[in-house]
Amino acid sequence: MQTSLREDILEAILCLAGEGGGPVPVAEIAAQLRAEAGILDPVLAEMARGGEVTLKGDTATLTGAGMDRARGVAHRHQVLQCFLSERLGIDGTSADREACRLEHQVSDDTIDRLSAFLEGGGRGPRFRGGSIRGEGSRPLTECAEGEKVTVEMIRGSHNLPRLLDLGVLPGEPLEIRQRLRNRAVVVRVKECDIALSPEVASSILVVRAV
Amino acid sequence: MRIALIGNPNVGKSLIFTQLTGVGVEISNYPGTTIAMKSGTTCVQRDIHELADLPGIYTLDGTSDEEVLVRQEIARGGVDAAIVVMDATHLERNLYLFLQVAETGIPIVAVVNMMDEAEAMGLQVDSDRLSAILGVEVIPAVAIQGRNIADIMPRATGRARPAAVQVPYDTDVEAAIRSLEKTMGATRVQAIWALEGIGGSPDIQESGKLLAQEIEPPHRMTIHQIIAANRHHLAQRIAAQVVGRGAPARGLDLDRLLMHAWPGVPLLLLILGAMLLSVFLLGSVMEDALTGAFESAVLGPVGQAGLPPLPAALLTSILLAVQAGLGIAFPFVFLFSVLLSVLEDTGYMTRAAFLADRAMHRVGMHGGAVIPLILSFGCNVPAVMAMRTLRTRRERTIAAFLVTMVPCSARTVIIAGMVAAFIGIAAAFSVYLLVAVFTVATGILISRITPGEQFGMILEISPLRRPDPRLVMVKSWHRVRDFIFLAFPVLLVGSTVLGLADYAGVLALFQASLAPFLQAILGLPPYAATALIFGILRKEMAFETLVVLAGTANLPAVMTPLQIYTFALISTLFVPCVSTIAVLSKEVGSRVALAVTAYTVALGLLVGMAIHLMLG
Repeated sequence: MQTSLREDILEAILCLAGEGGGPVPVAEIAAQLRAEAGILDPVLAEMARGGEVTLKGDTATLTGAGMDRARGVAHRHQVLQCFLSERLGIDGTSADREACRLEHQVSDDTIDRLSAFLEGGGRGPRFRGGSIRGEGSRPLTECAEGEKVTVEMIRGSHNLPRLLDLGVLPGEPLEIRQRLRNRAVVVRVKECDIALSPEVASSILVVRAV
Repeated sequence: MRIALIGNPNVGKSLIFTQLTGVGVEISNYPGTTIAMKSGTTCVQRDIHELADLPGIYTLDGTSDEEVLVRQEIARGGVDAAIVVMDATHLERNLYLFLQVAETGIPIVAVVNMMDEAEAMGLQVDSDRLSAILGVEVIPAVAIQGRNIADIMPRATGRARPAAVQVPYDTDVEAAIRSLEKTMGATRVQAIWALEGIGGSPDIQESGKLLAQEIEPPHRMTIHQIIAANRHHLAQRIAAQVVGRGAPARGLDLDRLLMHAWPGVPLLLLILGAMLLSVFLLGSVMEDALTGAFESAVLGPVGQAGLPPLPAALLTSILLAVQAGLGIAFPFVFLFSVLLSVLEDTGYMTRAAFLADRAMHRVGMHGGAVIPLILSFGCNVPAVMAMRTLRTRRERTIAAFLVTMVPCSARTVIIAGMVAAFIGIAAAFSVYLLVAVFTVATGILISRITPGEQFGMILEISPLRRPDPRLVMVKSWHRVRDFIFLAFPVLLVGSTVLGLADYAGVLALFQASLAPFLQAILGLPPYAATALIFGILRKEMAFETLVVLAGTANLPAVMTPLQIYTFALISTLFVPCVSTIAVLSKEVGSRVALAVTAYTVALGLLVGMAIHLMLG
């Protein structure tokens, strides 16, 4: 809780002061965070001791270290908010609020990947043709017999090499030939019929062929 | 010159190999660590060339034993020219491997096999066009009819050349290849393999790894995905140029029947049941006729020849062994081989695997494991070798236990010869049922305690074909021959040792020491102990030894039906033979082989004990 409040304060100062980092009146920070100024004082004092802000009278200014950390938080917030609103279709205000909560827990690696995912237009690796918007991808196990689909991505890595050899890679058209009740399937890929166990089939995500 | 056949699984390499090396040609097995490559010689214009049949693979850059073997054969310079065999009906997928072989720079001739099936499917493969694109000679062939097979060797020895076609990789990959070529002096194929982390000297591989790490992030794909996608893309473009599609001749789609739970699963059980029953009934009749004939023609006259005691004892034991061997080899092993070959050649096995996937998951394996399990009804030895198709050690360990518990043809002899003959056919089937129950229970138990991950099945369904009777007979004959070579020495030595021990009185001593135990625990007569022990060497010897030691073939005269039943059940549960133990330790390691042996012997004794205590 303490960490997230500190990150919120840093983010708020950056937001109010821009790249200069301050000075910003504490009351304004409190207003931005919709919190009472009194709650912030002990936290700000601790942050000052930690070298993230300098306090002068009723104002706070970001130090160099504080600025770096604030930028990191802001970036995480931006990426998450973009993902939530652009990709998942959550409305702006809710997306902002959700991003505020998520930004404190999420790892840098996840943010990097999410950011790369967004840059790629929200498409999985090497997606050719068709947009996933409007129609979600689903595992091969969910497809009906006779359906024609296109591979979008393959989850997990241990099945990947053999599937690659057989030509099951993103963008490849497949036809579901047989499907048992236990969800084992036979797919036709490159004119060959390949039988897949349910656990393998469920790792292959597909979209309806266009 | 050393020439190798390379290609995807199931494209007819071995058939071409057999036709090229032909009759009277030496065919030897080179045992590798876990896989064997067949090698033979063939003569072209008075020059002798060595021809190697490499195992079927989907890719050169994989990590399975077969893929590593083929890659190393090429990398070490062991292949002077390659005959790349492709399936005309699956040309695009087969070209994927061709492009990889082309990359290695070895001289190639391409064989596009199964042209007849492609025509039946309405596909026209333009082999001249293909030849122009690939830059190597392309021979359209139909191996099963021998069409154009005679062309292969002269062209492979005289006109094989490195392929002209080259996969255009992604610009980043090409840049990395160029950089490795320039800075490290690597060849193109070394550079590609280094990027994939599978070859080249340590420093080339190290640089390749670093370059691959740079390429991957912006593409958000592994280097393997990028390279595979580029190769598939070219294969697709080439196939589109050379394969013409007419109207396919649509016949009855049998798979609609075979591969759905209904009626597929009942059909599967029916096929297996019918196979067992016909071997059981036909085999017994044939065996009786064969052993009877041998008895009157050979054993009888020798017994009355009035030889001195020691030679007479020796000769009798040897002849008894020969009789037992023949009595099993022809009726049971041969019948099973014929039926199994038919099943294999129709392509039904892969369909059975698909249907059985769910059941196999219950015992910790996937559908592919059904193939070794079905094979093991014939003989456990090839079944253990077929376990290689299972990808994880965990699955192979579980399969090792289950495969050795399936009643092979030698155990069928015991069940048919003792239980069915002296007690009844229902009792005989109850043995199968009990063994099946123990096998399933074992599977559930072993899958719980065996560590390791479980991967699912990824299995290519082979096309349905009408089996060629000639090929079925040839294959069955080879299996019987293998069985005779494997079984006869053990039978002869075992039988001779037994005969000698009996003559010297050692056997009596041995029996006396085990008799109290057997009598008390299993309720079996003392001589049954020896028979059971010999049963571990070779299953059919258990029955044979029992008859010899009991002094009569009419067992009900000396044993109660319960004793006969117990004996048969125990021997059926025991590990089948020394050959199985040997091949197990080669395929899954001596520890698992030992565990399987100990487990089956313990299980057999425990079950025998339980029957004796409850019913005796």
